[in-house]
Formats: sequence, C-alpha cells, structure tokens
Amino acid sequence: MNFTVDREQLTGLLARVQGVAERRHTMPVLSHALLTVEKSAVTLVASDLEIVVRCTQPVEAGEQGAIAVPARKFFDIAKVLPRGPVTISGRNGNYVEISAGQGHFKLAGLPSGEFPEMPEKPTSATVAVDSELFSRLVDRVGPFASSDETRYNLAGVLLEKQESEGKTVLRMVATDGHRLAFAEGEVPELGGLLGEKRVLVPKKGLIEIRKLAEGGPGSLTLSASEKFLFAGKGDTELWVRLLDAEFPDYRQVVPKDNQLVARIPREAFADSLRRVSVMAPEKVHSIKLSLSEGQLEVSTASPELGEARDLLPAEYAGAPVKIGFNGRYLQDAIGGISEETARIEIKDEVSQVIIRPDEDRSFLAVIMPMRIF
Amino acid sequence: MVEPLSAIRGQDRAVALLRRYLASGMVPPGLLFFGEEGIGKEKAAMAFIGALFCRRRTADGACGGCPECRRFASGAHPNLLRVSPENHFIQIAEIRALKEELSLKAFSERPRAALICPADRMTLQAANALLKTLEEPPPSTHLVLVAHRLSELPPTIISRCQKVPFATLPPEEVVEILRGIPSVGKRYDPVEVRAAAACAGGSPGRALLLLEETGEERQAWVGLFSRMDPAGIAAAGEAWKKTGERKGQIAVPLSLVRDLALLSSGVRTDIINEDFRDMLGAIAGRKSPYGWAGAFQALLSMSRLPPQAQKRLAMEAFLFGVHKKD
Repeated sequence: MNFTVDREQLTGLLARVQGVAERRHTMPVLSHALLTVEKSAVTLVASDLEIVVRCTQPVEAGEQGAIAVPARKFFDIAKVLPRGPVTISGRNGNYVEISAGQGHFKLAGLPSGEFPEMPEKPTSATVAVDSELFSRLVDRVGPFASSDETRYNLAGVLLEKQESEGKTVLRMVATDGHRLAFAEGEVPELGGLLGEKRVLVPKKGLIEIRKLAEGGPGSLTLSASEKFLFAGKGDTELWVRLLDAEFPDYRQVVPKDNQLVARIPREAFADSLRRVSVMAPEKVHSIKLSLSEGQLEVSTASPELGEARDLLPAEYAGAPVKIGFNGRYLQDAIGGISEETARIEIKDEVSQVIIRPDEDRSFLAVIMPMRIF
Repeated sequence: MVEPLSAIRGQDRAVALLRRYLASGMVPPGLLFFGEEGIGKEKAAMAFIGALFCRRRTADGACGGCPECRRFASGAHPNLLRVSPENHFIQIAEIRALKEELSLKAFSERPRAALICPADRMTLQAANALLKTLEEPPPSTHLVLVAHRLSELPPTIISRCQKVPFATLPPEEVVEILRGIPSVGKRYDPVEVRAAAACAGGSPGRALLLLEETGEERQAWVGLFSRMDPAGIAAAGEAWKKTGERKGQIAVPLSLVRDLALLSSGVRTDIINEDFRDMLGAIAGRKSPYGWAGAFQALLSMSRLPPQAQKRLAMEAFLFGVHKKD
C-alpha cells in the first residue's frame, strides 16, 4: 500500500472518522480506522458498531492495499505533520509509515481482516433531504427523546412519511413518556427512504447525521435498509443501526379537546422561563403558569431557595387557570417554535397540554403537567 | 482460534447435546452451562458460539477458516457480546448495557450471542434485570450463561434456560489433559502432574493452578501447621482475607493436607510434598485419616466461598482445627 495525500486533506479525513472510532476497549480493533487504498482513492472507515462512518478522498495512489490503523493516534500525527504532501505506505508486520518533509512516523496497526465487515451501501433508491430541514427537525424533537437507560424504545426518534394535502412530508417524533414532540417538513419524494415503513433511529446516531448535514452546502442523501439508516453527503457516508423496538402509538397522546387557548409572544415567554428557572428546585424544575385574562404569570417557589415571579402579556380570554410543569420541558417545547407567537392549549390542571406555533402546523409538543401546589 | 466441539475433553454428554442443537437448527434462546470451575464450560461456550456464527459449519462445529471464524478468533466479532464481572460481581449496569445493545438491530446478518460468564456472579438486581431479555430475546439472539455454582443463581434465571450439564473428570482424564498442554510437560515431573490431578477434584483448570504454586509458600504453611502460634494464625487469616481473590491460593494447603491424610493412614507413596515428608509425618499423627479428610473438605469448600464471605474467620477456624487433636 502506498499513496500521497495533502496534509490538510488527511487531517480533514481523519477528523471526520476518529470521533466515531470507539474509545472503549472491549474490542481493540474498533479504536482503529480501516484504511483502504484502491485505484485512485483512499477510504477510511471507523465504527463503534452503532454508527459506521466512511470517508473517501481521491489521491495519487502508487499501490493498493488495506490496514487498520489506530484512529486517534493517526489523527494526532496528521495534525503535527508539516504542511504539504504526506506519503503513507504499508509495511510488513502491519505497520504504516507516514512521511512528510523530514518527519517520519512508523505506526503499528492491525491486519485489515480483523476489522468487522461493514454494511453494504443500501441498494434501495436514495432520497435527497435538505440539510437545513433535517437539522431543524432533529433540533426540535431531539430533546424530547428519552435518556432513561431502561426504556430503549423511547431512546430513539421515529422517522415516518406523512401525506397531507397532496404533499409528502417527513415527520420526526420523539417522546420520553412525560412529553412528546413531532416536527415535520416537506420533502419532494420519500418513497425510497421510508416507503410504507417507519424507522426508529437512536438519538446518538441521529445527532451524528445532523453533524454531517451541518458540514458544508448540499443536501443529505438518505436511505433505509432493514438494519441501518444510511446518510451520505459529499465524500462522507454514515450508517446508523436502527432500534429494534416498538414505538408507542403517539397519535393517541395528542389531546383533541383542549378548549383553553392562550397566545403568548414566544421570545418574551422564553426569556421569562429562563429568568424564573434560575430559582426552580433543582431536581424537578417545577414552574407554575397562571393564566388570567390578558396575562400570564410564570412563577416558581421552593422552600429551600425562595421564589421567582415574572409577568407577561398573553392573549387569553378563558377562566383563570394555574398549572404546573417541569420548566425544562417548557423550554424545550418553546425552543422548537420559530414563529413569533406560541400557542398553549389547556384542558385542565391535570391533562396533557399542547404547545405549538400559533399558525404553523409543522411542530407540536405535548407535555404532561405536574402537581406542584 | 475457533476450536471445534471435539476439542472439549471429557464432556461427551454436554457436547452431544450441543451438537444436537446445532444439527436441528433449533438452538434455545437461553442456555445455561453449569458445573465445577475449570472443566471446560467457557471453552465449550466459545466453541458453540463460534459454530453459530460460522458460515461453513461442519458436524464438529466451526470450520475455523471462513471470514466469520477469523473475526471470531481475533475477538472482533460484532455479534458476540461478552459480559464478565468488572469488580467481583456482574452489576446491573453491565446487564443494562447488554440490553441496550440488544435493543438495536443485529450488526451483521449472523445470529447474535451474549456470553455471560460467570453468571453466578450476577448480583440479584442484575439477574432480575436480565429476566425479561432471557425470556424473550430479540430474534436469532442467544444468551449463553456459564455458571460454576448453580446454587448461586436465582431459580427464576435457571428456569428460563435450557441446562447443559458439565461433569467433573476422572483423575486419569485430568492427567491426560494436563500432559497435552506443552508448557506443563516441559516444566513438571509426571509424578507432580499426577498428584495435582489427584487433588484437583476432577477439574483440569484447578489442577493447573495447583501445579503453578511455588515451594516458598509451602514452607510457610508447613510452619503454620506444625506450631501452635496464635499470632501467626491471625496474620495468616488477615493475609487470606486480603488476597482472597488470587487464583490457586488454596493449592498449597490443599496439597499439604492431602499428604497429611495419606501419611496418617499409613500410605507412603504418592506424596506430593516429598521434601517436607519428615515434618509432615510428625504432624500427621495428630488426627485420624478421617480427621484429615474432613480438613481437606473444609479447605476445598473455602476455595469456593463467594467473595463477600468472612474469609479471615474461615481460615482462622481451619488453622485452629488443624492443631486440635482427635
């Protein structure tokens, strides 16, 4: 194996894969990246068995070959090499020699055969999804996924296809059992990605795809197979292992007859929540919303800390109502709204509450209240 | 290397059962390999799992040559999940990590296997956390539990597994297995090997530990046995408590008590600790052969004490017992 690559390209390549290479020591080969040289391209693959990342870079290749190299060490070396061309060649006994300028490194690797077999690129048609849209959806619902280590089915985000008014829509849904959110965006064609099925993607993997979406212009290429969600952009490809679990029927959770409706300026509400949250009790973050005609009072009280109160205008005409929430849940829900006015729909002090943008139908959060009085 | 099933020595019944599972294609989702420590359960479990993964499986298990076998042999098979004690016990966090991994779809197309070894070191909470998974694992996933002491496992775990029993081996078989290990043949005298096999309770693994013990420790133990020295006994108890986890620690006193039992019954051959024969001869008269046999049993059961037991007290009681005349 032998090829020459520019230092900047090499560090760029390694920066993208080394974060995925595993740091735990259960399987030593997983802290390595598989380096393959073929024709005129070099490929790096790394995986922690939950996520697989594969980057390709065109290079001047002298000789083909493959070897597994310690990802982090290789990255550390690449960073300190002098600028300019770097020559990398495989040596007998599973070594790679890295030379740039007068600097020479000899790095011990492992035979490529020890690296687990990586999934194939899906054969089903891929669909293009706007990067910005994808990131926005993940940001909106991501915080609602469970981090409870015993509720695996809720630790993921559901991706499903919706048809509404003749448009095809990609919807992401997340819940942790106390709250739920879905966000959606129009996508020209989703058949190849989801067809009739829905996929449950672990949050960690989705965030990795989001990172990929963020880097540079262009749209994401997505495709789902039986076991993996595949995402590609530019010269980088990601495979995320899907969850093998049932996602609850979330539509049942969304209440349909919440009669008390308040319209609240979103930014003022978010500021107010931030302000009052400072004094909220640490474990439960309990915050009380008191709605009365034309105004909303946000308050909290804890015997140990003290109290906080803030008042803001609200478009509300119903009977006065007081309702308690986990303040963090409220903040996450408001965080998903980009419109100027947020809308809260309440039934009573103990039933689920809907928080969504006033007009826009592409985001909706449902939160269970808590009794704090 | 992935070993074929025929590499498992002296466990014909268990191996035949495993072969039947593989041949019928009906491998139970929960398997419990149980029997004495050091008789080949883990080895058998690995050979069996290797056979499950292998793409060119033969009647004797894994082929050893296909890509799956090579990956398995290098310890990098993505579908094998190993759970072993991090700190004496398998804690609930380790079982939860396993369940989290199993909640994802299998990485490769092969079956998936989790090896929990030794399963009798699971805490009760960990065992309870495993119950649901053990009852209904994801499709084509197999949980293999290896337990040295069945009595330490909750009945709820045992009843959810198909049991694969492993038996202790006759001493001749142990000797043969030990001779098959290249390093043993070179380092030890055949007489030593036979003696180790004789007092290993049918476990080649334990016989190997017995062999590896050194002479210095024997001197100290003979000293403890020959003089009534309460301070020395207390110190030995304290040391025993501290290093209770070191493997093979029991080997020296065990071989000495065995010799004492033989000497007191008048046998003059097959003494392991030949070099201490005179001193041992003087001690042997203290008890009847039955008394020494009892002491041997006491030591053996001490070697199987769980980590949290009162080891120091057990050792002190044993040493005082040695000085008691029948």
